[in-house]
Amino acid sequence: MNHAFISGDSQVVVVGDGSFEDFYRREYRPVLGLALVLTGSRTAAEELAMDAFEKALRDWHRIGRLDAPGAWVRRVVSNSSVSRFRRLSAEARAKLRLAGGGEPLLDGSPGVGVWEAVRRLPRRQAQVVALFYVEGYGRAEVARALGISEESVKTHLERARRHLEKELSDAEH
Amino acid sequence: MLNTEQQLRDAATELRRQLASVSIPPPPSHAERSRVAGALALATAVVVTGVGIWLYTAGDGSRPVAAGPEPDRPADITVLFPSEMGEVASGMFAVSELDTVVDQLSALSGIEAVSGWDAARQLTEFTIRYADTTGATARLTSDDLPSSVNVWLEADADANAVTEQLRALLPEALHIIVGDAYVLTDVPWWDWDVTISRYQMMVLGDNEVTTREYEVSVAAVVGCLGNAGIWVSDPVYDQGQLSYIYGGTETREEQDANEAVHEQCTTEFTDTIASAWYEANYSEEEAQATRDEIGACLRFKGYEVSEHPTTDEIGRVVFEEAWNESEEARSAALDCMQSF
Repeated sequence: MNHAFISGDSQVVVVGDGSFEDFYRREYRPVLGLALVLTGSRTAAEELAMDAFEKALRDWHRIGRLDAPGAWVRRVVSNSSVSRFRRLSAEARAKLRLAGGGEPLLDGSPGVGVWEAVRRLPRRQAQVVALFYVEGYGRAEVARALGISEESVKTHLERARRHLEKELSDAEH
Repeated sequence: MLNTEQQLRDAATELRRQLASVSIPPPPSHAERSRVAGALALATAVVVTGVGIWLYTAGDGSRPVAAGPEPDRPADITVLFPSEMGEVASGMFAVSELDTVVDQLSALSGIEAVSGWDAARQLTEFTIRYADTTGATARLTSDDLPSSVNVWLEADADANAVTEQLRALLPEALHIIVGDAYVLTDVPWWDWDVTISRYQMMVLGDNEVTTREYEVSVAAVVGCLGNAGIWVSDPVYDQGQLSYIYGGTETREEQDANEAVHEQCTTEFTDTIASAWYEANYSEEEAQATRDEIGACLRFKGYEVSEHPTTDEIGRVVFEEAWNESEEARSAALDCMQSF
């Protein structure tokens, strides 16, 4: 448990709207990738990614001052992506809004089965795997993005690998 | 056969390659912010007085208490005071305590704007903010919410330094909220729950919890579930506490999805309020009996807990020991708390 006291040594970095655009352009693709791996649907992933960026923009005076606003957006996306309710509602909204939604991603690529197996993992394990492999995050960065300890990240990663090893080898036979 | 590690790395490389060709849509706009600002504008009429300061009125009979135009963004720092602080006995030019605080803070360096909201204005803003959730504000009155002084900082201001100044200048403040974090100045027992939402922070912000607040917070959960399309019964008192049934779906997957939504709704609207109300309305003997049962459950799960634990002791075990141990431990410890 961590109290959100304001410490004397935290640095305040002021970022304006122009910087939000830079942040958005830099982070959109990786955040979309994270949502895609966790939802398996491009339309839902695009909707959830945009939802997260909209939330960031609404609170940008605060989010922009965080040490790692990218971690904040990833936490929002990874939590909403593994919530079946939010995922389905994002998909429904996207279908209403979009005429197309762009070309499907991953279709036919050898990674499809791997990500399907990841989505069958327990929620937290799937989030850790997605951040670790897709984002290339280290354990400390994964821990910060999900608000858990590094030790938990290690445990989830080990369990996820064991699950996946069995799932993927079963799939091959 | 590739090993799992290699399969994951190859899949990630392929995904990144495909993502590189995805066109980036235009960034989200300020449309949502403008909508909120528009709603606020409807609720507030701005008038210029003969003495050249801006006064705001909520249009619902609450008295004007703000000096300086409020920027079109949430306040950087919100200082909470007791509900009655903004009240003025009589007189058109009477200066309330809130006005005095606003004047005092306006002179500090690093501050762009300051406004004081009496409890009536607070209720208006609160009602707008939670208008989408049926029942979330319906029966609340201004007595249920704190007065506040809202502070907007200049772009290069040091939020920590300003917060420290506010703590020193305003010893009567109950809480200081910085963004969504909060710096406590007076700690009621429920504040060890650090996951408290903004909604509950405001309802409990005057350091009082009433049965009406408890009932409204449960009604808000019911509204929240209903908004999510989940069937929910009317809440009724059962063994001294409100209870309701929700869901009614068949598959395990649907039940899990409903539970996840329920957890979000209770975290947003009622968990801390319900605990605070329970604590305030039950005798020490009854409360200790509940804590004893929670303690026995935690001991059974391997934690060292005394026979008659205090709330702080249970909080430490659940929110520090179990919380930092693993997700499974956290879930098991929370089960103990929620079972009684």
